[in-house]
Amino acid sequence: MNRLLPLLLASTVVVAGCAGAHVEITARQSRYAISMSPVVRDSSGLLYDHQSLEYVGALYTGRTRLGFFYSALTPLSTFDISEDVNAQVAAAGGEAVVGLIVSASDGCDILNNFPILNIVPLWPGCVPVTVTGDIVRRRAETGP
Amino acid sequence: MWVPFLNTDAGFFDANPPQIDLKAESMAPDPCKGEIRVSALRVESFGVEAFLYGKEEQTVDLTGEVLAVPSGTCGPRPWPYSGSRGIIFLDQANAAAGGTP
Repeated sequence: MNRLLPLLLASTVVVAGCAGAHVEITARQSRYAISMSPVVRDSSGLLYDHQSLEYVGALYTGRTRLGFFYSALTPLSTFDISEDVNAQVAAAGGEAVVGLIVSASDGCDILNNFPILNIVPLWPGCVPVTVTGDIVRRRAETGP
Repeated sequence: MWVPFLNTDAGFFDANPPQIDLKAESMAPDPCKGEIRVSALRVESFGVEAFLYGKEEQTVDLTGEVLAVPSGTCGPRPWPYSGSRGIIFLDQANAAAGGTP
């Protein structure tokens, strides 16, 4: 047994692998306010809630990014949602996005956990990111 | 989280997604006086496997800071929620909701 233990530990290290990826979400070029809560503020600082906001559409965007070297390297690791926000809010005639939700699905589980092959540093991992939200505008009759 | 052919953890993805509401409310309990400005949002997916045992994890890390609202205005009508919630913006997107009415 004493001889088997080091062999067992060594083989565990040899057959162990990992993979993954990461992404940073930004919205630096967004022309519209983005809120992760149900309310949003206008330029004068006034709060607008669901009673004073009108839902005009849904925001939906997403990306999947690949990572290498056990997730240490993720090319294009910044996901700027500004372009999608600007396009979708303008198309819907909205003024802001509220209730923003950022989620990562389990779509990369098999790739990230692939036996044996994920020992190889170049074996890709990935992260599928989905961003959703409600596109809103102020109700005309409730303006300050 | 279940992965074919692997003896993986049973997970709860999407069944009970994490909410930042309580944390945000504790940091900025009065939306008339403060809000939370998000400075970084990072999403990561990572899997590790050994001897056909696999574990997969997805994380979303959010970094923000509490800012005081200078005007202290609460909006065009009384706050409707029983539990107040702070406002969270993303990065530089504070160009206002369509400008001044």
